[in-house]
Amino acid sequence: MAHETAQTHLHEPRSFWTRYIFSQDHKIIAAQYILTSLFMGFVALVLSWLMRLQLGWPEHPIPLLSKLFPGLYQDGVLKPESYLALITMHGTLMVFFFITAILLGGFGNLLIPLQVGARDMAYPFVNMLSYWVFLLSCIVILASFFVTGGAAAAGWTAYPPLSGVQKAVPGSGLGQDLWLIAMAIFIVSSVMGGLNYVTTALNMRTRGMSMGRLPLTVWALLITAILGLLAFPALFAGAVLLLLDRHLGTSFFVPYVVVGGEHIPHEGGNPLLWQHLFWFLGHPEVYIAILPAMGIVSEVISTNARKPIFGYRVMVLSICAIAFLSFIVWGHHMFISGMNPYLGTAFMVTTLLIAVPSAIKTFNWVATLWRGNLRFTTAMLFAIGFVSVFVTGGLTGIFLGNPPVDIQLTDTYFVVAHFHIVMGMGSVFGIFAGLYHWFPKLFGRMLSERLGRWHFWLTFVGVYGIFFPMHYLGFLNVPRRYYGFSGYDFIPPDAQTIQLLISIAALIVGAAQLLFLYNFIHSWIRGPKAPANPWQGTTLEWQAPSPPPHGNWGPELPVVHRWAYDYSVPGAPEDYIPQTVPLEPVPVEDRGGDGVGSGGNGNALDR
Amino acid sequence: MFHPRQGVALGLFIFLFVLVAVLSVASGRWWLPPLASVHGAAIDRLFTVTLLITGVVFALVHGLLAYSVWRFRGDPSRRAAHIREHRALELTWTVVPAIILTALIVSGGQLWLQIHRPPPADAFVVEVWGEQFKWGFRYPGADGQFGRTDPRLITDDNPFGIDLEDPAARDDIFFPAGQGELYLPVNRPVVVYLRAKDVLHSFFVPRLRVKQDLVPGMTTRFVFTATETGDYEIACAELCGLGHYTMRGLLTIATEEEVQRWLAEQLTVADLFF
Amino acid sequence: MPDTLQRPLLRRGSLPPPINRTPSGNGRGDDGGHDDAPHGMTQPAFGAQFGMWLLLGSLTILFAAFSSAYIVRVGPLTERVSLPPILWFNTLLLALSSLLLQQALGRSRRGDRAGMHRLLGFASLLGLLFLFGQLAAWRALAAEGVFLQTHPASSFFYVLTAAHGLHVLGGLIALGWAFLQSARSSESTALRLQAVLQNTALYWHFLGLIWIWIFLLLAWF
Repeated sequence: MAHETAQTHLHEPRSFWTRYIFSQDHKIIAAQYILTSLFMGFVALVLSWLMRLQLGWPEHPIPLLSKLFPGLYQDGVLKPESYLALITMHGTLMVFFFITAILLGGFGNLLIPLQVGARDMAYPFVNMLSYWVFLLSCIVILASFFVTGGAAAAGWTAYPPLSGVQKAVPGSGLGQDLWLIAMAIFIVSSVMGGLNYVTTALNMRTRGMSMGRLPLTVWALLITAILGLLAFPALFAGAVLLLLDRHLGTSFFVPYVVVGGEHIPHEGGNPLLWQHLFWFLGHPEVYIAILPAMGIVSEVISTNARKPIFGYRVMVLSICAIAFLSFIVWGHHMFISGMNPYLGTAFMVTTLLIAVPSAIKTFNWVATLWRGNLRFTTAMLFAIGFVSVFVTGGLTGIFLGNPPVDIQLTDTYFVVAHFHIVMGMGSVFGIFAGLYHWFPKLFGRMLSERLGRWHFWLTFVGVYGIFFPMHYLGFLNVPRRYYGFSGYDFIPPDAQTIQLLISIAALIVGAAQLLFLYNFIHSWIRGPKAPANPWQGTTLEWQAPSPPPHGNWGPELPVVHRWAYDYSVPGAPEDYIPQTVPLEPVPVEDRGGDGVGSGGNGNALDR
Repeated sequence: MFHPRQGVALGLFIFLFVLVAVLSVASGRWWLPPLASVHGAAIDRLFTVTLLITGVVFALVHGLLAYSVWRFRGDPSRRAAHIREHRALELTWTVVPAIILTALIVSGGQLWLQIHRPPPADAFVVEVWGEQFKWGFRYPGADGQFGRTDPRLITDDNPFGIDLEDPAARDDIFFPAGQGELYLPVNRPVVVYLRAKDVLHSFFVPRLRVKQDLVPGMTTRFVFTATETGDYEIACAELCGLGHYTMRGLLTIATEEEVQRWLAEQLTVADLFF
Repeated sequence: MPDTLQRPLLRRGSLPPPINRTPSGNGRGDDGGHDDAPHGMTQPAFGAQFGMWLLLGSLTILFAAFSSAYIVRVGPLTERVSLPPILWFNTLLLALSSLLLQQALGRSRRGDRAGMHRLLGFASLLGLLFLFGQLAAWRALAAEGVFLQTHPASSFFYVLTAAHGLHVLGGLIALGWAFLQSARSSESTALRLQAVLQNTALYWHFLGLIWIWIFLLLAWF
């Protein structure tokens, strides 16, 4: 054994540079992704504060901000063009550079090899490249704040002609170009990552790790990676065509327009074509953001309820159903866009159908809690918070997926409330649940649970304080993406009061994230050393040391003997049995439900 | 590690949240703007039905969640039940949502196609033009036909690029963006043709339950029947640039006679150009 | 429990191990039915090829997106590009190149390194000629006054051929690398070379099919 251990360390990179910077180790790359995307998320958070300050206290001068952000402010007041840049960049950074990057790049890298029992990703070099290309895209998109005209201002959906004609809006200059280029680079990076995640999850499973024994995190990440591979290239194509429209005089998306009295001689371009290409990516992207969070939440809930995830097979099938349907619902973003109304009907059917697997998953989570022995770790609190926000935000989707109701509510704060709760907060709660759960594994130290609980409560209560009242604004038909609301008689004075309260809640929630940041950094340096299996989990990663060494498993790969959810098995000495423990005949009596055996130890029942 | 008090707190909070949420919505203090169109009544009905259904599901699922986290908060002396699945239950929560959603799909789909029916022949016709950040209007005049337009012909004097050679254009009445008001008759189907000069806009009249994008290069359409006379506001609901939030327009719904009298007083293309 | 979830969907295989390890015995109990599965790190070919298939899936969507944009945008119009006849010749070049590459792959499997080297050289040369042929087609169109911005069909002509050509260029770089390697390949690198060759061949055939699809789209739609 000693001989083999020596060999294990033989190939471990020794220099600082190859070990921590240009590392091909999936855990280091995961940490790089997590740190970078947390930084991007923090930038996006600051942008949202600036927006909320304007919305809560319209045009109230704050001289300090002029000093901090000279490009965005004038005499302490946010410029209207800056507001548009803020909404655009906040959305883009949050959706792609924070949520997608941390879930796929961070958790995908960390969890897939560890949970399938592999030593690393299938293509470690491509994996490293994926991170560096991602970092490049981050730099390009951040650089766009500092160019003439400022960052892109056509919304995160970048609808032409606004994004296609330089004169249309101040941000439609170099800022929009950098936005498109950054997105294209990001897509290249995510394709490189996706190849790795799918190949690793399918081909590098250790002995005994059949598909039916995969933890739901791996299932979710696998399906998400497939979604990414098949959805992102559509936007790449769109970005290329839009760049040509902007600079080389083609007319893919931009028709003959007259902007501010100036004739822009394009010919017959079709703005709706961009919308189709964008949403062909954009809608699967929503599920790219939420599916991994669902996987994380399933894992965290099962572990902390000390109970098998309820309906494993149906959970897997729902993930697949949601993924499949997510490709044929994109038109529900375009009900009032001028798209053929008959097409709208088809999209409406698929859209509302997607609520069925979503409902199944929700009920299965609640059923997992039922008769559990719940441990309220911070990760568990966030996971339960996820279920709550997913229900709240999911239900409002039923309004927007129904086109007649959508007529009245689309492009109002109701939509802002809907997608922030379900997709924004859903993903974020999943991310936090995952970070609190797996931080010990990745960094070898425990996060402070006490600070974690403060973080959770301020965030959970605060998030509803921000986004629930936005539904009221939606009912009042207050349009979104407005810099100010003065002069509109149909908006009652109540709306401004609500805006003010939302802004206050947003600042509090923002401050709570600083608490997390402190916890993260402090615990990384000084946190108590983490045991290998702090939460008494069953999955493979908890069988490796915290943090796992290079190559993860020492001389021998783990061998899997059972499914991922053997919690509270009657007759077992502990309330969890790791996947590596060989099967023993277990007493069959006292199984709850109708006790149809599923997963790995079904054959135990046959003995 | 169990922190049972967190379970109590979380259960209590979720319960209170549901209570506040349901009561605040039900109070009706923040509601859709007063209704003033025929199809809008059906939209509002569907909206209310959806609100009731989702409200019940919202309260039910959150109730279950709150109860579970309170009731099953952990304790080292206890063991969780080992339940893997339950066919009947899972089937229930697949089929019931499917039935409810099918009902919503059917009613929503019917209403949607009804809203998008071709306009009746006797409908009042008007064209709305969007440009950064104002609304312009055009009426077809006595012949009921709009003159041909071409964006290449747009000048300061001819802001919609009307082709003056086209005989149908002669009696058109137009108001350059920001210089007119939309006058429409009450209790008569109105078909609004929507056109944009520069970027996307969206014609949004909250009280009439009308919202439709304007797309440069194509003509979109919305048909509605207003039920009340009075002044209405038009807002832009699709991000159109710097002044998006200032793109406010006015719409007056008046009786048929008033509208016709008002139209007769306006200058036509022929009056302006020939 | 249906069997499909129980059994692995795909064979396991992987890249070279980051760690030298001795094969472990089956000492940790028995889960039945998995004895045939390799339990460590094994040979690269399958794993790498799997990734290539995924990449091809992604590229299919890229070209599908361009194509559907073409159908939506150009479909209703009457203007089309009159395709330069040299495209037929280029198609032949690319097809021949694919054929030779497949031959080269066969030679490498049989251990005929000199033959592989020669065939690789020809295949790469034909690939290069294809690119020059595409450039000639661009020049022919430009000479007729048909440019990128002339009309939607011409815009798409340039975009589709450029997108395809860039991917061919990428394939050529891989082929060139394999060609140089095959000249001085030793036993130790032969396996790696063969894996690269296999993937490049797959990619190259795919680009051939994509080209035929683009050609059909431009010629008949």
